[in-house]
Amino acid sequence: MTKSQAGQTSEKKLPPQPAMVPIYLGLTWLCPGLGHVLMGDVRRGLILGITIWGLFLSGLLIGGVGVVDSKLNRAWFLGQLSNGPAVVLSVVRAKTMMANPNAKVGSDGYLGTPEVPNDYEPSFGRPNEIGILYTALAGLLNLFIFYDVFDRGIYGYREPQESAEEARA
Amino acid sequence: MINLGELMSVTLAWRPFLDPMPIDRYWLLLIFPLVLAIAVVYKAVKIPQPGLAVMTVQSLKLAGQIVGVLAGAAAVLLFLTEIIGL
Repeated sequence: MTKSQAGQTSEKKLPPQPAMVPIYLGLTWLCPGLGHVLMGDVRRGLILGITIWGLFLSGLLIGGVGVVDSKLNRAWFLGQLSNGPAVVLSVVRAKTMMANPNAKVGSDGYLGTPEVPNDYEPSFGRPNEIGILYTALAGLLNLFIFYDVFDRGIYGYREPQESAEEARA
Repeated sequence: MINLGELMSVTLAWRPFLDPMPIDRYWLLLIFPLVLAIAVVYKAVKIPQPGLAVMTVQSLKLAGQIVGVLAGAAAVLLFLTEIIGL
């Protein structure tokens, strides 16, 4: 197996940057993967960013923008909350795409009526479930990335041997 | 068999991101991209220097393991509920 196959190529080991951690975490929330890219770990950041964005956009494509709804799917929105674009989309949808933004959840006006439709079609059944699952999972995976950004920001990049020794100690 | 005329009428009227996709018949297949994304993110965080070759192999391996465990759990549940009748 070559060095590149083993994933042990030439990237330098990065020092800890504790003071910058809040900024990296904020940027990771706004755009998944951006925290890693700015820490100098471009390849990892791109892989994480493309995957999280892909999962989030796939969820929206499957279920439509209605799957990100802080009132209708409150519990799932807690998962979606870890992904900044989902929160932005939820606010934009509620403010600009609903025909009657002040309608109560569960009333006819909330999902749009044939006479006064919303700008988007609400989803039901499987597309709704899968769309919510994809977008919520994108948020929860971003939470996992927060932890990684925090860990690498505080302790820097450790060699695998060092980590193993610490785990044993 | 897929009716092309019906498929075209559905896809032409479909507005991406505004209308839900008609996936009711294929929803179970969407477990594969989901599992693959989980595996890629996990391995991208865990592997010290994520190269293309090692990421591909490791992610596919983990995704396969997750799908295998899910299929096993489904088989056990099917056995308990449908065959034994708990």
